[in-house]
Amino acid sequence: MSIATVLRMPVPLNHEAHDYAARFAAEQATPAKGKRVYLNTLAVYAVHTYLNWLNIPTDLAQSDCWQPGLRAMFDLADLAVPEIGVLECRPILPGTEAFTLPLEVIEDRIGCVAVQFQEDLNTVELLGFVRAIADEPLEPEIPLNQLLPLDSLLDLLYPEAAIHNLRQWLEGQFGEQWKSIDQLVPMRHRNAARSPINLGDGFSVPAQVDAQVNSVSRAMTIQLAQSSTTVVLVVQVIAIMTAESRLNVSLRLYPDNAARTLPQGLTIAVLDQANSVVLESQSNAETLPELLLNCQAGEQFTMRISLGDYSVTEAFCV
Amino acid sequence: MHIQQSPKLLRRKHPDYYDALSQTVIWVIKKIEGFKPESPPPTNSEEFIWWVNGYLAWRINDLYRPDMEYLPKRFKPVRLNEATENGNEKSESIADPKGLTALDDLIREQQQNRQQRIGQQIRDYIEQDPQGILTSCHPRKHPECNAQVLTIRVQLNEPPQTIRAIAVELGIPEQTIYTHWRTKCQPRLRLIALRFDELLRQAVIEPEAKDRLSQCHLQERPECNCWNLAELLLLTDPAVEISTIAQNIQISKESDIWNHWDKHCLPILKRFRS
Repeated sequence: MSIATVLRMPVPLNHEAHDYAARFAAEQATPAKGKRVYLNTLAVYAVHTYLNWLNIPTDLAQSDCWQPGLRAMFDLADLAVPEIGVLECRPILPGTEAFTLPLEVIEDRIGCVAVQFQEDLNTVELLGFVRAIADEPLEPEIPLNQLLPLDSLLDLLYPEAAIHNLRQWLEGQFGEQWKSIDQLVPMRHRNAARSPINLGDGFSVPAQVDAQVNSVSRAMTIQLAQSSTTVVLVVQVIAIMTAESRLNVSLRLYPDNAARTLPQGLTIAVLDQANSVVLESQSNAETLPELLLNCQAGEQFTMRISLGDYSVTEAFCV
Repeated sequence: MHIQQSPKLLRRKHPDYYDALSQTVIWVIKKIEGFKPESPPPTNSEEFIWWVNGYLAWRINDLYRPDMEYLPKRFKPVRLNEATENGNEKSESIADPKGLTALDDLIREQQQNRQQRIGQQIRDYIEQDPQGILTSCHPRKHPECNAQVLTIRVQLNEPPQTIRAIAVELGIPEQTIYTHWRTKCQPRLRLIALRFDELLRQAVIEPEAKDRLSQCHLQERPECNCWNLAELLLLTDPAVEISTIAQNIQISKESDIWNHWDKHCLPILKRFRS
């Protein structure tokens, strides 16, 4: 029995949840509005309970739907997650295959959790999650079959434990910590960082005429704790759309804006699932470390950056 | 396997049974997370449910203890008659949650028990627009597409009308209405809604809140602090328009004031309200 199985359990709605819902519904002008408020409150409370199981603090009092005036005026089901953002928690009635987000909630949300209700209001099930693409509003119409599994909600809330899904990058979905090259890479290295992977033997575009090439690059800062130095990791993903659907990935390190060069001996390595080093590259006076990988769909790897005794790892999947 | 779908899981009809179950789930997760090789949770599903039931039985036992002291404070049930916001509801506790289909009747009954409902007050305000704030808020050349008309159609009507349907009906581009709704109507409606929240208005004048609010201001503009904004927007009657505030303190972008209000001032007020 894994924690993931426990977390797919229906979430019980206790007496307190129903007391809040009934009290909030009783303040409304019409029974229809009251019912909407009742179910919104239960949906928010269920996600609050679920996140508290995971020790993720939530703040009901900071949520707009906990404000009497705002919930009477708008159709709100928001939950404030301190330091992270606001999650929308939408009730889904039995027999529905899609849901609509009201205009007042599509902006300023980090994502939306769909909460499935049944006739019995003692438990609900969290069906899945839609994530907002950075700074873009959520799509107002969401078919249930497009929901991501709850794991992706946990990736968002526990970014440090997340596995970076490189295939999602091609659809424009990045974790918060991934920035554009211009934001992080110092001016003098930007052209190099933007340049395409040097396509060597393993990286050549197959001869098929139909091959379509799609590429995306993102950067993030990595703190080398012991030396208080930060470096910039640039990951470039090149998808060559052929029948095999392989992805080429390049991992490069650059100094940040505060330093001219990388620390000597800084090493970047790729480990396989058995934690054995499969590729490695080290910084020296002339070259910046770079690794190139050719990955199949479903493959996972771990990247390790180390300097002396200190090391930091990030996990990726393709 | 879902614990709660197991027929072997202990069940009781006690109104706080789901609190006991919630605590059990938290315990199970902690056990699995901190699992030690010498005492792992059972992997066989039957033994696993027995293991869960062992803990749940104690929590259920606690429910029947007269002192109820075991309950962490946040689990202490809030009853309807403890609600103090309008202070005029009949003192009765809500019944056990009914099913989804019985919800309409339950809610209708409880709404009738309240003489003064914030939802009704806000609805009346929108329909009457006593200060003309809503009718005067419209895209240039389109007075028929004013904030009152839009609010009634988008928020009050059942089911709500979509912006697209309104655009077709009024013959105005959808984007024009959408932008007007997002940038002009919604911020005004938020302020109107907050002004009906008596506890929030009271929070503004609490000495400690006043201190915090006064210290939080737009960068290099101490006069544009949260206390001044809260007073002008929530306490002054009639409310001062943000455009007037912007003009008076010579801030060229109204949106800077809205942002400061939403991101900094309102969170402080919410904290003091609760």
